[in-house]
Amino acid sequence: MSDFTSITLNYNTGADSASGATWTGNTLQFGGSGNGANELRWAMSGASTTTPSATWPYITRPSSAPLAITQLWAFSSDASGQKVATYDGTNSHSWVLRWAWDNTGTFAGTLQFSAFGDNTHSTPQAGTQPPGAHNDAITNGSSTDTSNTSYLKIAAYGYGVDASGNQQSPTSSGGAAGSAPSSFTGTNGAITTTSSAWSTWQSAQGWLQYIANGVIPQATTAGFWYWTCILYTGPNMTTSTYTPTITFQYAYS
Amino acid sequence: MTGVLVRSVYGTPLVIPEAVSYWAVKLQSGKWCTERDIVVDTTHPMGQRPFDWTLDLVGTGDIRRIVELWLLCPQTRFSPAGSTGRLLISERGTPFQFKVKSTSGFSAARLIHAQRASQVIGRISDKVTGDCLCFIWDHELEVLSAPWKSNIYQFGTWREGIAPLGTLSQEVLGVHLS
Repeated sequence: MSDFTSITLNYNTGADSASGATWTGNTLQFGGSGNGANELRWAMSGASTTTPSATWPYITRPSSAPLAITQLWAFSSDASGQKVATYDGTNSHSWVLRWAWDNTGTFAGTLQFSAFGDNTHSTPQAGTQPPGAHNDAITNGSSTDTSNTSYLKIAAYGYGVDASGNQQSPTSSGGAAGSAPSSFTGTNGAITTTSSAWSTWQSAQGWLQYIANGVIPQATTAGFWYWTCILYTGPNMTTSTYTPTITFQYAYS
Repeated sequence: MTGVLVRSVYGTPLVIPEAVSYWAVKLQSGKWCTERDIVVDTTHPMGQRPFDWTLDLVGTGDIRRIVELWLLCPQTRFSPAGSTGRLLISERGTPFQFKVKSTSGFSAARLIHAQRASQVIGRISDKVTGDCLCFIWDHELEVLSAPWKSNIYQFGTWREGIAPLGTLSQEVLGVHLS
């Protein structure tokens, strides 16, 4: 089949449940516009729905141990965004983010996603601080803070749509997304999702450490693949402004 | 239609594209089909659509009548005349074709939209193991690979920046290993 007309990222501004989640209108398109649009932004405090990218508040690096960033915001344009209500820097919520695809395309291979320092998709330099060209402190991680895994952790639920066309969604009442990760969590290679279950948490470190879907979703079937994340920082992270990209790879015929 | 005629060398009705790679197949009947062809489809909003590998080759059974599979790649600074990959198909159920896209975003990176598609044609060389021989047009690098070996059960990566593709869908691609 030809390519999908639409693959996007949805974020939840409602409650952590099937009935309470709010996805309508909460969509980010792939590819930043270069002026602050279509961005996920993390903060500890000081952010608002109208804070432009250029004045986004700094996060103070911890002095002793790694900690999780507690707020995630989604901005469809530079100074127009919303807080992702169910992100709090823990694994305690299931209805947080989801990949959304329409019914115009057919996957021909496994879906994968992860994060890179930028969209050159250069392989992160695991554990290297300060980062070099085309990698960043977040995806590189630190030997001390993250055991050379990325500071960004991800987990995904089931297959999204299974090979028979059934949508797989988290427990309707929400709750914990798998077992709590730490800043050290990460496994070389792919963590592959299993049917109707939260994956093991994984480090988002390019294609060194990433999540892969356990099946190829049914052809021409729209679906949602639910996932969540936690961004850590730590005393050994080189301070700067980092702009990693989240990358979704797929094959189609 | 613009582009450099491949006909002069290979006696085909194919042309080198100006921008986007495409596949072409020759059927046992001698008929050529390419994804640049247009077919009538009353279910499509426009009433017509491009010729599709899965719908029009796999869906009609013509996939089993392919005798040649081509990948035609655009003119680039590395290959001013364009480039082609050609696989002769002697066994039914062995040719396949797909594209790979890495799409990125959601950061403040001051780089515009990154959607890149590479295109792969292949032929199963061992139906028992799933080993295959491929040509890959890498859209980002603007090069056509040399014949490259992989496996449809664990399709690998050909360079940094592309994740191993894992298992390919035999149903979608029309591969028959029995």
